[in-house]
Amino acid sequence: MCSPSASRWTRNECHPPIPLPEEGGDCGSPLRGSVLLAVPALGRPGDGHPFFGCNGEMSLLPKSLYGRLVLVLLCGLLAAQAITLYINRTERDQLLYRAGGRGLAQRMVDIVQLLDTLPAAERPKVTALFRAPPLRVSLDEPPMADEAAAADADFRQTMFKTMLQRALGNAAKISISQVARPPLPPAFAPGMMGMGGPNRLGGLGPPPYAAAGPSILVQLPLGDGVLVTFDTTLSPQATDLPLRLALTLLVLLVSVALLSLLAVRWLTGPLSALAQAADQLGENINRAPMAETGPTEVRRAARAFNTMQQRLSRFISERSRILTAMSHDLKTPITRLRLRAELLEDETLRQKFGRDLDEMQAMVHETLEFMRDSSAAESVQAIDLMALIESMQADYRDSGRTVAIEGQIEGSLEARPLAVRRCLGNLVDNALRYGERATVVIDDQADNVVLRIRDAGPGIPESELEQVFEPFYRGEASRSRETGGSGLGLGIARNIAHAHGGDITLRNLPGGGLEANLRLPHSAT
Amino acid sequence: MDSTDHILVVDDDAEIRQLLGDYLRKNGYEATTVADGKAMRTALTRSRIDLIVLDLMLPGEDGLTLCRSLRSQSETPVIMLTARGEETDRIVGLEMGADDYLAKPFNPRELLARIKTVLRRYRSLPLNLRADQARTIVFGAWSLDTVARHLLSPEGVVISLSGAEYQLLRIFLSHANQVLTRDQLMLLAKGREADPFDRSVDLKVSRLRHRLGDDPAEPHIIKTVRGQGYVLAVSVEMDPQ
Repeated sequence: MCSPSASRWTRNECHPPIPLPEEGGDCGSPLRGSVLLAVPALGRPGDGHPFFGCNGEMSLLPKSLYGRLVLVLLCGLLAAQAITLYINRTERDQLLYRAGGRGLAQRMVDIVQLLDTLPAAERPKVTALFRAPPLRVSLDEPPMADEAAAADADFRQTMFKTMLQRALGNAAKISISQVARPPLPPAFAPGMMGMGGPNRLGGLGPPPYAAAGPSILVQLPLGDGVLVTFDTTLSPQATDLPLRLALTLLVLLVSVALLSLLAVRWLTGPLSALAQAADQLGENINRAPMAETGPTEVRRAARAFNTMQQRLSRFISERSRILTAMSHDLKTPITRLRLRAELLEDETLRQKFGRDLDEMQAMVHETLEFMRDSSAAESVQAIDLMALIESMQADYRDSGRTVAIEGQIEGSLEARPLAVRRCLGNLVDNALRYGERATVVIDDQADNVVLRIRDAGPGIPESELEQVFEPFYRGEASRSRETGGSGLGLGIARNIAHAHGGDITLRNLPGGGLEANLRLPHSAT
Repeated sequence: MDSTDHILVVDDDAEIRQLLGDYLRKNGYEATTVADGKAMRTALTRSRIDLIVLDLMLPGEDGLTLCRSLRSQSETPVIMLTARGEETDRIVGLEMGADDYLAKPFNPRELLARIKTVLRRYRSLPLNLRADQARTIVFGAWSLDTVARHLLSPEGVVISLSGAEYQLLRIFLSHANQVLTRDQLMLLAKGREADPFDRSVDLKVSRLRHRLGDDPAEPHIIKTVRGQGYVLAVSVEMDPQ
């Protein structure tokens, strides 16, 4: 029947909190939160140690499960792509190139051998046949220098030369030189075997000419010393590969990111539900149990959670019942003591008894008040907060105490009238008890009403600002014992504020005095 | 008090019974103490009883049942004692016809003060001025919740009242359409006559009007009767739920 507000219970004690990654210091990461497309941040996975997380200031470990999954998948993907690229560049590319080059070399050798067999007069007719791309043949070019022999020669030229040399025989003198003119369209380029041209990538690819291989002139001597000059284009090296790779990678990255998002949302849905349930448990220990559905692990977790909730609920209600029963049972002996004390002849002694009994009675009363579930007892109604504060002010005035009101609130607030009155009353009583006079400052904000209850007292040490909300907390000054407080007033007030979806905080005012900040949402939860 | 008032204490706790008896006797009352309803009835037939202090939790017939059956037979004022101190107890106690209500553990001096007030009210006022027994009192477009002790405006907004404002309104509601003088108001509220120079009644009426949104220049709910006092000028309906 009576249960202490669950929020109190979750707020204090009993277990050290499970360290959450969020609490682990400043693990700033570009992947913090739910990054939708982590591609830019993952552009440099190589620097740093993405899997070592939060050690020191170096940390790239994303905070969300989603981010982590994307990171792992992308790192693997990038590594695979890097290796593929390496293989492409070193082996496959050269093999393809060599195959293409060999075909071209073979053709040249065939032409040379054909021309060799022909008389000089017939040769121009034959060469005329080869005046069109991809291979133009002429017989009247002047001799040229052999660039392929130079130390810094292009590897493709040297390789091509080697192939020609092999086909023609070592004795032949071969000259190769680069031509500084736009190369032939790659569609005509020889040796493109199965590689696909950049054109296949449509508008996304580089301009076709830029991707074609170098144009070269090859001069081969015929048996009679005539120089045959071939004007042709070498097979383009895979200069477009990184671009194509980048595009492929981009497609993969996007799909991985989207798939990770789907997978994580799907897999972590139950985790969010669990987190939400745990949050709600803090507000209401008797919340409806979680649905025990889904995959085995999830079902087990939900069942464990529900069992835990049941045990907690039982534990709390048992504890509440004991405390409530004890407090009730104390009433009869206190009543007897009160009567006995009144029958004492000694006036001083009687007064002392009276004070002790007042204290005991206040404790019993406030314990019962504290244990009472105020939200269960009263329904939420529209209340005129201004009338409430003013009527309380009138009551204080009638009992000779001054409470000042600053500010105003128009309209009404959704709340439990008696509970709010008790809550505010406790705060004002506190202010009057320790700070002599109380001022209630009304601050009507967009979503909340904030009431600041200020006193002119000595305030409390900063270290105790939170502790004073604990039941029966006695500060170093132990002032409440001397002034008649039970040590539950603030706790009761805060429970009420929490039950309304609000809160109470304390702070010392710069000019002295204590300020209690009561925040109440316009609509109670 | 011309003669000694006789108080009957009904409580099942022997010690409290005895101590209460001693305390009352020490304070100038004649006291009889009994443990249950049966003994109470016997005591009532045996001697004149001016007031009954009745414990709510009794073995056999409980305090509420006793109070109700008592009310059907006599006018003897009853002060109810309870260990629970919850609002429902208070309202139920008052509905059953108790004149006042005190939660244990009570301050004995408070009990003495209540006994005095109840006796004085009982003797100095006609019957219809005794405690009202309704949970909700509707007057005009307004209603008063006697448990929570606050008003419900025509718009359904809870309007809190100070203790004094509530008391004054209860008095007006019990005497709807009757002109009440300042003296009467004071007597009903505090059990003493008004000081001719005491303006506190006027101040309280003006605050109550403010709560009710009643224009002080032209009030519609609590009207001023020049030279006489005030009158609640709307119809009142008791709604015991």
